Amino acid sequence: MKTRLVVIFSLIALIIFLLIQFYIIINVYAVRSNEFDSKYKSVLDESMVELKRISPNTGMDSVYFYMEKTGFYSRQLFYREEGARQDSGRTQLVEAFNNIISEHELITDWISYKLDLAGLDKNIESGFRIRNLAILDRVGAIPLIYNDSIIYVSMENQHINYEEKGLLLDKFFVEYNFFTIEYEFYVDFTEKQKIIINELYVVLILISLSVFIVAIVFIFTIRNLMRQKKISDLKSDFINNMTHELKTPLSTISLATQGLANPELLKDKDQVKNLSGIIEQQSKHLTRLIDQILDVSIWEKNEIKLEKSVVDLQNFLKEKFKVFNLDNPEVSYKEFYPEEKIFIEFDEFQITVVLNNLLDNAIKYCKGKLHISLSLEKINNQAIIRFSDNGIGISSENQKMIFSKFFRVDTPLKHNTKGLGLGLFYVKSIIDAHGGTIEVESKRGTGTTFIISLPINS
Amino acid sequence: MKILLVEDERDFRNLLITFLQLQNFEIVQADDGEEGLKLFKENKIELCILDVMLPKMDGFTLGQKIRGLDASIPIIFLTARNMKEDR
Repeated sequence: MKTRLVVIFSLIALIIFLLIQFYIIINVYAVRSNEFDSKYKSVLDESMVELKRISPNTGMDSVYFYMEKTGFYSRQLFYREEGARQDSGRTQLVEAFNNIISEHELITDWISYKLDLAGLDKNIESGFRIRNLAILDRVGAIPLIYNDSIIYVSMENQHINYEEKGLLLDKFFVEYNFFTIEYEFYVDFTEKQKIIINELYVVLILISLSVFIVAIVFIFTIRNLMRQKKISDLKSDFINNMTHELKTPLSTISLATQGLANPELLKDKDQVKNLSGIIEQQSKHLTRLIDQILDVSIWEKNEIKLEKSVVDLQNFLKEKFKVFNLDNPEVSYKEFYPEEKIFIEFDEFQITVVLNNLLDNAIKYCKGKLHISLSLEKINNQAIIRFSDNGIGISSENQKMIFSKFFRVDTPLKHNTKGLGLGLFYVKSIIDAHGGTIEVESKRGTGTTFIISLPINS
Repeated sequence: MKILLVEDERDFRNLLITFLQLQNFEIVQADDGEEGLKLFKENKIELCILDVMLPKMDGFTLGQKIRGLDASIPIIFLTARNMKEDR
């Protein structure tokens, strides 16, 4: 439970971290953008001041000249035409005024030149917006554009949708004899975004790198945490089991001893033999268990020491099975041996333990009547022992884990079968120490086969 | 008095039976949970002694089922586990 909380909180912390990084980037961009604007604006302002000094009409002399001429001749339109024809004329007139500005204004070139001089990027897009325009006459003013709308006589006024972009350069209002106009000039920096991002390159890379590193560290830490938790769970499980496993023979011994103190039971000679036999057997069992635990912990630190001797493998296996069969007559078994004898060098005691472990497991995890089959063959320079049972089998996910220390398959059976989770770990360690291999083939519900391969040293 | 004893460790079970018989109790024995439940239904039991770790059906489940069949029968559980989690 606690682990899950830790993971959730860490995840939230990571997300907050990422959001903060994002926020930082946006903020830095905004700051740079303002910096950009003010730097460029100051140049623009200075340039306009200088331009006005040089030319009182801000270089628009030609523009106003042409506008005056257009205004003069356009009056005819309003007297001669009416209705739709006049409106179409109005549209053309508005277009004409716009064109005059576009073709004859000098501001754009001047600004470009000034920006270049200042060492700044001169890629600008300039434009203007006519807010109000009227033709003047003796009679009065004839509005063409009023508050951003083209005025028509026979139809609805058309609102001009000006794009409000860029920096406002200046507002102009002039009145001549035949026209009056109010318009704005703006400048848009087309390369602004590119320039800013270019400056931010290093920052962006550093931030991406830090996010990447944090994410990786996070993933590793969480994985580690999960692994540690698993190991700690396995260990406490093991300790629980070990306690039970050790206490069970001890309680039997204790009970038997109490029996020996009972005068009624002491009278019966057979009982006495029985009780002392139980004490001896349980003590041996206890010793075996403790040895198993000790061996496994010693192996952590040192290498496994083997006392090898040359053994006739066939005889060895036959013997062990005979003993096993005596102890467990209800198990049916088959043996298959090759024609030629196989002599192998191994530690008899340890390999006996290995076999006993496999046999114990077969009994522990059987269903119904247990049937075991053992086959031995020689392939190349290896002795292959196949040990099969018809038990409950092992699922493929668990097959990867069964040789791990402390691992026990998680089933309802877990509490009913006794075990330390050390058996197969022990088996694999011994086989590995002999330079051999052990594999498992199994299908859940059908049975399990262990395949041990031991090298035959000549 | 008939006692139901369910314990899978053969030696331990036999020892318990020896002691209980000394006290003149009649013992009905089983070495797994399923067998124990069957025997409980077939006999008139007055006391149950159940091991906690049993094959086929663990002791607690067996105890629950017996409780379901007889609300007042005394049940004694045997266990070597005394870790906090098990309590």
